[in-house]
Amino acid sequence: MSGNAKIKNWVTGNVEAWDRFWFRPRLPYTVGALRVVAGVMLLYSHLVLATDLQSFLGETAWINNDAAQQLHDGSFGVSDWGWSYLWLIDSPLLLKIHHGIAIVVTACFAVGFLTRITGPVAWFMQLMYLHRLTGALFGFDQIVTYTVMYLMLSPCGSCFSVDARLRKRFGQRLNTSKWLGWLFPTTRPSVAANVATRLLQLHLCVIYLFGGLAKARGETWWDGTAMWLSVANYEYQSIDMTWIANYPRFFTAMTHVTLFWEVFYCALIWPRRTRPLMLFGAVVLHGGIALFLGMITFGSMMIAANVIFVSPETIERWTRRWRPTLESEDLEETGENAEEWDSLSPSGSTLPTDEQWSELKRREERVRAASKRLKAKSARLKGREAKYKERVEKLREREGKIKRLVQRRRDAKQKRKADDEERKLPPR
Amino acid sequence: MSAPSKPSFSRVRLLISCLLIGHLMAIVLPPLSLQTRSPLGLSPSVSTVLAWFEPYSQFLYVDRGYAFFAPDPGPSHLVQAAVTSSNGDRKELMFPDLDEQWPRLLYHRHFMLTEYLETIYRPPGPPPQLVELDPEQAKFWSDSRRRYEHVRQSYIDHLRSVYPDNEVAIRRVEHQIPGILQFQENPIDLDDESLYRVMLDLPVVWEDPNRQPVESIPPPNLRPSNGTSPPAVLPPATNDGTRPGSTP
Repeated sequence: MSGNAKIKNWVTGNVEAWDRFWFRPRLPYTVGALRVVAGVMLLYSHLVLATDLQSFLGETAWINNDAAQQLHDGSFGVSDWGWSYLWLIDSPLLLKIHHGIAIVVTACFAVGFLTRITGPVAWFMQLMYLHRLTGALFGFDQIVTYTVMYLMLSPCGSCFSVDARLRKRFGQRLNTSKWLGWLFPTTRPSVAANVATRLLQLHLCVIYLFGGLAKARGETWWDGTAMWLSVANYEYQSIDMTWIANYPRFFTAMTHVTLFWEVFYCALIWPRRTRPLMLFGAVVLHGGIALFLGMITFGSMMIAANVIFVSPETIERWTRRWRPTLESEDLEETGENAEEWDSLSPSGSTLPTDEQWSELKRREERVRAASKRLKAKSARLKGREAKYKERVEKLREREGKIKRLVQRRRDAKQKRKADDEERKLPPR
Repeated sequence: MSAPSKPSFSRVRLLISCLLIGHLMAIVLPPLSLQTRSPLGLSPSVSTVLAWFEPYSQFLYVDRGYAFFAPDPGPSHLVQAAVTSSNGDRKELMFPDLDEQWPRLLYHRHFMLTEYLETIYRPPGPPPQLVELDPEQAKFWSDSRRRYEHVRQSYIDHLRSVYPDNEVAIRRVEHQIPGILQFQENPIDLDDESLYRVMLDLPVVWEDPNRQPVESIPPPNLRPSNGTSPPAVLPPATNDGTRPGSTP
C-alpha cells in the first residue's frame, strides 16, 4: 500500500470514528432518567433559595444588585461576559413572582411536561441566577446547570415523563403535525440524544482531569494528608470522621486513590472493562462527599451525572418494571422498541414524510456503509485464509521431505546394521 | 417517487462538528488557563486561543477551574458580625452557622459567601513603592481593594437590613485545621477556641530590598600577590563540580 493510500485510509478511518462517536442515534432512556434527577435537584435548589430569597437577590442581599453587576461589568478593573437581568430587579414582589415562575418551570422540566420548552427556559433562568449569585455558588450549581444545558438539547422528555403519557393518549393527533411531533418526541434513538450524551460525558472528563491536575499541584495530595484536612474541616463536616486519624494507612491510601482516579478518569471511563470500576469509584468518592463533607446535593448530583456513562439499554432494563403502562405501551403502539428502533412509520401511513424519507436515506447509507465494511473485512479474511493455506501447504511439503529424509536414514542404518551382522557371521 | 431536495446531510454534520469543537474548546481552555497561570502571567499560547472562546464560556458559566479542594484543602474562612443596638446591647453572630441556616444547602451558600470575602481580600494599599515600580500592578491592587471594600460594605448593609437601627461591624475569621501529628498526639475538638484566628485588615509592610544587603560578602581578592590579573572567565568545572585551581 502506498503512502498516500495509507494517509487516506487513516483520515477516512478517523472521520468515520468521529461520525460514529457523535452522530450514531442513541435511545433516550439515559437522558430521560437524568432529566428527572437533574430537574429535581434544580427544583430543590430553587426551593431552598425561596426560603431566604431576599438575602440572595435584590437590593438588600448579601451581595446587592449593584455589587453583583459591578463584579462583572469591569467596575473593579476586570470584566467578563456574564450578564443577568436579575441585576435590574429591585422589587421584592417582582423577585418573588420571578422565582415562582422559575420553580414552576423547573418542576415541569423535572416531571417532563412540555420538556422541549421547559428545558431551555429552566436552563436559561438558572444561568441568570448563576450570574446574579456570584460568591454564593459552588460545584453543585455548576454540575446541575451543565447537566440541564446538555439535556435540553436532547429529547429527554420522551420517556419517564408527562409528555410520554400525553403522547400515548393523543398519539394519532400528535402525529398529524410536525410541530406537535417535535414537542412530544417518541422514545426512539436520535442523534440529538447522542450529542447531548457525548457532550456531558466529555465535560465530566474535563472536570475530573483538571480537578485531578489541580490537586497534583498540592503537597498534601502526595503526602496523603489531604483526606485528613478535608474531613477535619469543621465547616464542611456533617459526620465526625476524625477517627480516621488513627488509621494513617487508610486515609493516605484514600487520598492517593482519589488523586489517581480523578486524573485517569478521562481515559479509563471509556473502555468497557474499566468503566464499572471508575463508576464504582465515582459512587464511593461522591458518596463520601455527600455523607461526610456536608455536600449531599453536590455529591448526589455528581453520582447522577456519572450515570450518563450507563447505556440507555441498561437504563431501559432497570426501569422496565416501573413503567409498564407508559413508554412500553407507547412503543408497542408506534412499533418501536430498543431492538427495533428504526421503524419509520409510527403513524401507520403508507407514504413516508420528508423527515421519514431522509431517515430512510440515512439508513440506506448506513446499511451500505456497513455492507461495504463487511465486504472489505471478508476480503481481508479471505486473503488471510489463502495465505494460511499456502503456509500449511509449504509446511506439509517440508514435513514430507523431513519424513522421507528420516526414512532414508533409517533404511541406510538398517542396511549398515544388516551388513555388519552378515560380516560377523562365522564362515561355514 | 423522487427524493425531496434537502441540503447535504454531511454539510450539516460538518457544521455541527465545528460547533461541537468550538464548545469543547470553550470548556477545556478556562481550566487549562488556570493551570498555566504563573507569576509571569498566563501562558501566551493559551491566552491567545482563550481570547476567542472566553465570551462564550463566560456567558455559559463554563469558565470554571474545577479546583475542588485543590491544590491543598485549607482552613475555612468565616465572617463574624457584631450587631450593636442603640442602647448598647451587643450581639455577636458567626457566619455560616448550622443552627441558623437550614437546610444544608442554604448553610453552604452562606459558607461560600464568607469564603468569597476571603478570596477577594486585598490588604489596604497599594504601597507607594509599588506605584513607582509597577503602576499597572498598583492599579490592579487598588481595583481589587475597592472590590473587596464594596463587597464587604454590601455584607454590612445586608445585616443592617436584617437588624434595622443597629450598628453592624464585621471581621474575617480563619478556622484552622489541626495538623494530623498534632491531633494524634493531642486530640482536640475541631471547634476548639485555639483554632480560630482573627484576620486583621492591615496594610502590607513594604521592605526596600536596597536598604540592607541580603548578605555581607567580603570583596574578592582580585589582584593576586604575584601581580597577574585575574581571568575574565572562570575555567570550566571538572566532572566533580570543582574548578581547576579552586580551593577544596
